[in-house]
Amino acid sequence: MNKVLENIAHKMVFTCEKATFLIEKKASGQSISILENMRLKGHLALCKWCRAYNKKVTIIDNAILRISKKANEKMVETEIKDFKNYLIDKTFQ
Amino acid sequence: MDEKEHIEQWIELYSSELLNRAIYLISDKEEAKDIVQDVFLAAYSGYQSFKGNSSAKTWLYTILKNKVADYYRKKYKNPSKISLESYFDEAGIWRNGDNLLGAWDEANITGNYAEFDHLLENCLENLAPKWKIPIKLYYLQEKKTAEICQEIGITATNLWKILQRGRLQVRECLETKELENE
Repeated sequence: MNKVLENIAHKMVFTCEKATFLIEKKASGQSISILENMRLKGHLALCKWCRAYNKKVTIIDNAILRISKKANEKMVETEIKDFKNYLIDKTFQ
Repeated sequence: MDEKEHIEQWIELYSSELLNRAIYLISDKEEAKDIVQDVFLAAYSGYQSFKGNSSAKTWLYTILKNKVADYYRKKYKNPSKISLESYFDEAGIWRNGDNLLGAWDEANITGNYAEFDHLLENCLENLAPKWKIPIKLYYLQEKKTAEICQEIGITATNLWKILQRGRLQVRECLETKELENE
């Protein structure tokens, strides 16, 4: 029975390739058409792989937003001081 | 204070965080230093256009963002073809679907963000520039699709395809690395 449902998900609704594209489009805050949305929901209801992928997209999205906000390299005090002096030299030369 | 003293003060106050930000954005310390230097040169020569209606810090970050976008625009090569063959078969179905089911999920990374984020950063760095650059710009521009498309001259549909392609790879990389750790 499960196999039959999965077949419907992939053949009748649409492919995983298309589903992952729509997931990406939605994640960017873009609206997708009502029809596309219905078919995506139908696909997700039947395809466990895309369902798992959909969750992972949200996790990765949140994580990239999180690391985009933090500065990730700690520099030693002397290096910062040298860099500031270098900037002053270069800017006003 | 005159112009020069203002700029000196800004260098003192903000250069180290601008540099950190630049290093994150372009992943190369020496190039990041050059870019921050460009930011202060631009601030010095364009001082008259700083109206003071935003804070100096905000203004400097805006200049940095533009310089980084310039840097990427010069480096970016539009991929002629975006192939998803290694992820989906001819029927458009996952090749290794079951890999998606195991490994990490929200439950086991909550409270352990540091480790996950570190893996993720490595996976992002491993991407080829043609995927990495649009993804970095996408998050740099706070996901404003239209602006990124304009900056690197691609259509919105192509951007989503690139994001899709990049994310498929990042996800696979995370799954592989997770397995290595076990």
